[in-house]
Amino acid sequence: MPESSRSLFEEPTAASPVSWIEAPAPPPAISALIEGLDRGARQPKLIDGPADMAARLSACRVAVIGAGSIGQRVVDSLARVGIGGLWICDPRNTKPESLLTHPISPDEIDVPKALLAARRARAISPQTEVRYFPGAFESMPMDALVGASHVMIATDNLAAEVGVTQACIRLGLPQLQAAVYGPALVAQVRSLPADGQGAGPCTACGYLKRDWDDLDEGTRFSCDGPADAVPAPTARATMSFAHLCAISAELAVGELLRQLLALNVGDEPGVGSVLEFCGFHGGTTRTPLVRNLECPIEHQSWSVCSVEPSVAALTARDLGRIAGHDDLREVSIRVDRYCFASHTACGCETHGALDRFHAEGMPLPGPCPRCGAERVLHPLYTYREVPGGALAGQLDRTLAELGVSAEACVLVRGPRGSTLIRSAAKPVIARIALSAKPPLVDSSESRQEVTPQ
Amino acid sequence: MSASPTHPSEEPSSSSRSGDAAARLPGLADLPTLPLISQNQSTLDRLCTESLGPPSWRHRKRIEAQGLIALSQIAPRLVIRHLDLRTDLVAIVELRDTPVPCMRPGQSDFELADGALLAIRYPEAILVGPIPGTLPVRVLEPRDVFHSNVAYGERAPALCLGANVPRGFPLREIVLTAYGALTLQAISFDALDPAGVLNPQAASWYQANAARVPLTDVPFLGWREAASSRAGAGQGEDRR
Repeated sequence: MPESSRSLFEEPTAASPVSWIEAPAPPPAISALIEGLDRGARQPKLIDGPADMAARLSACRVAVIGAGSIGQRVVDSLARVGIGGLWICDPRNTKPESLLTHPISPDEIDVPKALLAARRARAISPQTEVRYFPGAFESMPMDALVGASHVMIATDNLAAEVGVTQACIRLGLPQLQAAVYGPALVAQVRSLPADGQGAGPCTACGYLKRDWDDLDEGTRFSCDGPADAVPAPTARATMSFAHLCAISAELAVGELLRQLLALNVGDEPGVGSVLEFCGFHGGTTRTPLVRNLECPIEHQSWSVCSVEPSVAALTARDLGRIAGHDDLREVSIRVDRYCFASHTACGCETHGALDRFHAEGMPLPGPCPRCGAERVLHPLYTYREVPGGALAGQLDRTLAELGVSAEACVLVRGPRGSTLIRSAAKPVIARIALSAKPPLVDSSESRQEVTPQ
Repeated sequence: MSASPTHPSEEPSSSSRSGDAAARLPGLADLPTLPLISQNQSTLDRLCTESLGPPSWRHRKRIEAQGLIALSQIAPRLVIRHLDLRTDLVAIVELRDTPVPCMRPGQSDFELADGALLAIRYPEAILVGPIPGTLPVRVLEPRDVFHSNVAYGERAPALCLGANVPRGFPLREIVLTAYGALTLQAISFDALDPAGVLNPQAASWYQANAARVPLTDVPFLGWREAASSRAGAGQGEDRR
């Protein structure tokens, strides 16, 4: 039975990491084997290709969501071309059946897929910045993809797919989605460019009613789990031959290289496409993709700002000003992994005031001083996204004074758009930001920083 | 900031109900086109001016709030105590004439409360995917609810509506589902259910006392006079 101290918006409380982890370095003996390897020794000189091919590749940071039969191969291939960064996310472990479609050996069974892919990528390309996250993408922070230049979606989990494509739209990141449909021997890759406004197509734009029904039926939450838990992964596995998964992965890598190296001759700028290989006749077709105006995904990009030293040093009024909103009544503020509670409930007739941000999953400190009963966040007065009006009286207190830690990131939404505000000194991701020497407020960090020149 | 819509019976101009008035009332199928009474319409309009978020979400909140208010106009048992559309749509609703099983610590049989006060949260996330069944509904009153899908002993515990609440599930349907769940008309007593139960002891108890459920067979739009409590005859006690 759940503990009575559980909050209204509890997040998973497992001791799982909450953001990217640096991939482990390979054993010294392995590193020694490839020390001094010329990374360009096998790279072709492309006809009309860019002169700065290596620089473009090393400037590229690709988040690969899903490290299964397709994602593992994508990671492998990108490591071999010397890509600058690989961020790999997958919540599952390999299992015996994985041998049938994944590029793994029997001694790699029951290993977190994300770790497995990250370890191999780091061994193949030690200079590549490799991170991994062995959990569900939906449980990552709002700014998890800030700093990536491209996102490769290679998951068969529809809930994750929707979450990733939404995050990409918001952060203005180009997406590639690699998938297979086994019965028709089809491998397909969707290329979804970012237009900076979020007006282009997303992966969900192509969903049929059947896909949305699958999303509903395949998304299961445990009844005694946290109220805001990520769903349990569905048991549905990719039904395909290994070679079809490999074709999909390599087509996706090819599409990425076309974009990175400006080889996409004939592509209409800003227009998405789906490239399909059919195993029955062995041919490929390319079809343009357009946005579906009925798509329920919010097609609106956020601005991204980094602040120093930390978001927690700012007041709500500062946040509104940074986001370009002076009237806080017309904005809402969301602090990632926190909720704002103005009141608690206990045994008293009147509700006790709290007026603090509260870390999700954490118990409230101490019982009610009046009635002695344990306090819980009152459902009516607890906001995951707090309206500016509910912060009246707290506008000039810093987030730290209101209970927010230094690593938090904040989303401010208002009539003139949404702004994600994050601390420049955030662990791991900060290393990328530091290379760009962000000013106190850089309102276009993600797009300017990562776009290959 | 927030408001409490009015039930038609509280509006001076509305006609009074008689015993068979239910036959003349619109049904659930009429809700999308049911006009709101003037006071409720103006309350909704005012709430919508404070609504925050992207246009699609603000539009959806208006539709859901309208559906809930319309439901309260045709359902005597439903009273909306509070409505807030600023970020998540939050409603505090009272379900009157609704038997809810409660068991105080140390008791061996349940008592029936005569209603419930629920906090309902309708989050923006439901637009793009299913949400956990434990997310939307919290039971503010009564306390000590003895129910397989309500955690026992918590303050403002969640009422689990199932393994998920499907994408786009209407707010008014959440209220109807909560009524069915609280009155044990539609609920899982299987502790081995993959979705799990929040009170395994209650699940076992109801499995062993299957004749006591449901607590009433009166539908949501049914009348107080028609209510027949199968399990709680002689035990009904308003514990709020």
